[in-house]
Amino acid sequence: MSGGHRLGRLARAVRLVVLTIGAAVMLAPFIWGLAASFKPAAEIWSGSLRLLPESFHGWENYTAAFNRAPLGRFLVNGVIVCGGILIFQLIFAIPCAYALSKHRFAGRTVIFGAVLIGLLIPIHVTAIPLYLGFARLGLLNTYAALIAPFAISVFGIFLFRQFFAAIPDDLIAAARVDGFSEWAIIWRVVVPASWPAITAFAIFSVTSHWNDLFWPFIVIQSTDLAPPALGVVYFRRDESGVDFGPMMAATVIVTAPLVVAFLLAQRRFIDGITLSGVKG
Amino acid sequence: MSADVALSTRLGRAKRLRRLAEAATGWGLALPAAVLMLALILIPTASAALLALTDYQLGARRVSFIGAANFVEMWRDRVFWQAFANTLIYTALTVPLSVGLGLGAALLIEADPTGRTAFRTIYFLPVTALLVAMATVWEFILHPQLGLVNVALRQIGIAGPDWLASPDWVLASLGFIFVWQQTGYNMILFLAGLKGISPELYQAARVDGADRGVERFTMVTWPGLAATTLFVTVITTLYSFRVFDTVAALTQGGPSNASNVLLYNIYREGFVYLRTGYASAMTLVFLALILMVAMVQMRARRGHSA
Amino acid sequence: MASLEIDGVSKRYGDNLILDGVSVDVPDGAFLTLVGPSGCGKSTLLRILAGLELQDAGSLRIGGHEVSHLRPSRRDIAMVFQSYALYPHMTVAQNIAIPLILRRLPLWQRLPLMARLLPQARSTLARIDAEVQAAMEMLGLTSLAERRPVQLSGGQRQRVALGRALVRQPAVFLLDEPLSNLDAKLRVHMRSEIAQLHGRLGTTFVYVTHDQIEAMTMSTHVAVMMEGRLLQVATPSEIYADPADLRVAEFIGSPKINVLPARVGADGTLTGVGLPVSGSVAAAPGTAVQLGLRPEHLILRRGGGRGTVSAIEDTGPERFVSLVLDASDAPVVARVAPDHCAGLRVGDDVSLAVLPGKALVFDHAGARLGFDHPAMTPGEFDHVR
Repeated sequence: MSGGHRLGRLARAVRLVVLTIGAAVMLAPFIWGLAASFKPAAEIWSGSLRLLPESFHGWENYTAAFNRAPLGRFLVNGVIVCGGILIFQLIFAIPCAYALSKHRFAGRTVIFGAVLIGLLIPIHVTAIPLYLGFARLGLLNTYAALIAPFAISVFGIFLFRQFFAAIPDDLIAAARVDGFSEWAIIWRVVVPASWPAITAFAIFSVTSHWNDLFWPFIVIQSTDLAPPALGVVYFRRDESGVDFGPMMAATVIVTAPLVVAFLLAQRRFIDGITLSGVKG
Repeated sequence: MSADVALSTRLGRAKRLRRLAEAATGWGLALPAAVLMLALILIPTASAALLALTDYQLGARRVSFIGAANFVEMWRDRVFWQAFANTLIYTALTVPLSVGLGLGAALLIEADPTGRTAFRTIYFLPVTALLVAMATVWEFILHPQLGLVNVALRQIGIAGPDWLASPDWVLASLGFIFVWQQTGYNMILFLAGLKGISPELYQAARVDGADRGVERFTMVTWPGLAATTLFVTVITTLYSFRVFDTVAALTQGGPSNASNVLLYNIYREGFVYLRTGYASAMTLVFLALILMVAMVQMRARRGHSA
Repeated sequence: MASLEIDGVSKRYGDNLILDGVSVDVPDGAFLTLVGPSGCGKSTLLRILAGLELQDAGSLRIGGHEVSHLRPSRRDIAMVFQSYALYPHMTVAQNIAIPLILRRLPLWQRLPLMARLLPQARSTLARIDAEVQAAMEMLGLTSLAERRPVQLSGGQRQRVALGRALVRQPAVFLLDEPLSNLDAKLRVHMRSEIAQLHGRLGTTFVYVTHDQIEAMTMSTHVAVMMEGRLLQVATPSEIYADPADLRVAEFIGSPKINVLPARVGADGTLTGVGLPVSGSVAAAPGTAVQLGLRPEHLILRRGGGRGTVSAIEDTGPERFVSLVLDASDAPVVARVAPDHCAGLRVGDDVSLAVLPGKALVFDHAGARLGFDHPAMTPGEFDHVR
């Protein structure tokens, strides 16, 4: 920050202390939750500040968690829903973004205007009419209801349009001279040249829908269809908070996939999740 | 001469064809997305606006147009006002904190290379965590008798409140969880902003006589982060308007609406009490809040670039 | 291989006339360079040739066939772009192979597994591979076959772009400022490499550049364009020695040609120049004209009171002396040998003469005028050399 200027010894010590306290707060729920998932109920409710369990109860807690709720099912649902959403988003957003950035046609500004308006409207605004629509179609409580509202990502269109605009027009012209069709240009030239944007968007999309509670909360009633966030709510409701060990185990299980993925591919995750921080 | 005419008509036809083909491919590529935008965003938004003018109740056979009656009712609805006020209080509480802490973390992390990567990873970790799941852990940590916080407070002689069940503390407690998750996100955006400031500016400031860190901060860092700060503030505000998960999982708006917020209230009116028309009217208020923030951002940005 | 006929091509964008009835014919195997300042329309003309844009009027014939209405991929042309336009996700070999694969394998055979399963597709691929190998060999790319564009230097990328073009054996090569992204040294090298390539392939090349040295050194035909018009098409030496237009004379040649105002005297001689120019102009007496004098066609002598030295630049092999003529106060540059007028300094008094027969005369609008000059008298200029 100070452009190569090194801090004094005292300033460095203060920096480390402050950052470490912050880090402790950030990590506290992860560590405390993980520790509790290994403890028997008696220890959890003893009000002790001991981190490590006196008697290891991990096996019991984790098997109990799996027995009481279809945790595996929640995770599979999460994969189906997030995967489905992502595939549709890419299939629809990429060609549209390509057309917006590399083609001139009447109505282009209208479509882009719709994208800009769409950026301002979250699912919470459209939820009631969408719910009525799905109810009319008899699609409530289905995967379709979980996936369809997000099949189009205006943010994806916006982002890809920006990225595609940076692809040199010469490259597109060369592809036309070489004999690529427009469709082939998209999937064989534009998409491979845009992998960084596509992976970042994929991570952004998957994390936001993995974590989304609002929409599944409204359209899903069955445990079999619940994605992870809703699954946690069901688990809480059924457990009514007495048996904390299995609950913490369940929490660890549904949280782990994304956290582990983040730890394995930090750079890409940070790029992806902060994607909405790309200034328009 | 006639060859010329033949050529020019052929050329004209080729040109028309090409323009047509260009328009056709353009539309062909954009049409599916355009149709979906219309069906899933624009028409539903318009429908919400129309529903807001009706007395529609979920499952009812009859609907009638009641004009602004929903808005009049909202004006008198104490629960709505409480949810509205709670949302604003929650935002006022969380936005300065998470923006400020995010900025502070970014500045401290960038100030020295020791532990830079590790701190960045740790601070960002909450962003990747499933919020409802982590909220459950926080509930445990904030447990009135046996939670980590109150046990620790008791040891230094303070009797902590029942964080999530006390009307005085519940909003702050939920806000704390939001700040816990949002700070790392904001930190990353600020770090990106800091990267965008040329190191030569710091050297220039030093040559110009800014010997103290504070002077260089006010001369270079803070102005250099103006655009980032505006953006981070806007996006954090929008996120805090959307608070729902922690409320739905931990408090259900309680105790006695002390943690009821706009989205949760919309959910309850629309999907528990089935008052679709009325909930739609509240949706419009929610949308208006978002649009106001977007307008403030646009104006501020214009002022910034001018 | 084919001749190229561009006939009356015009193009406008809104109110801007980018090309105004441009016509050029070059025979098969020509190296035509379109040269001119930026914005003169040369790149637009090339993109029209490629079919990336359509002209508003005029026709294009390649090998005698009208191609104006054809898509780029159907015109039997290959193009090398200024930014090379290599596919970033493909290796060197794949970049070179792709135009052949797209042309020779039907879509369904291009599907990932198909090509391996079908014997017919397999033999096509083997043939393509052989041609790609040959092209890479020709360009010295064999050892780089598996690299991706980001791993290549500018010159190597340039060669891959050439390879992708030549592997198709097109009737016409189009090159859009291909050397402008290279550093000066590499540019000189690639210049000769492209000229050699042209010699070896014998295909028609159309080359766009704003660099007059590239135009002069590589081409068989130079077309100088300005403001959407073609000013002259000729061989490089004709363009230099016999420019049809003052703008051509000014654009080609460095340092720039000296232009002095003059007036046609009673007997056709030039007056008002401030130095003697023998010869007679084919124009009415009293006409204002412009006299173009190349710096190397001026003979400089010490003393004589015609002008004053204002600057001297030594480049090593030659020396540029700038001076101001007493008669016309127009600045003039003379190119002389480095040892000529040793000890000459700024402020010195000098006189100038013009090599006979080298003066170029243009009318007020810049069109070239005929200029007869008397035969050189033996011994007249002996004192100079």
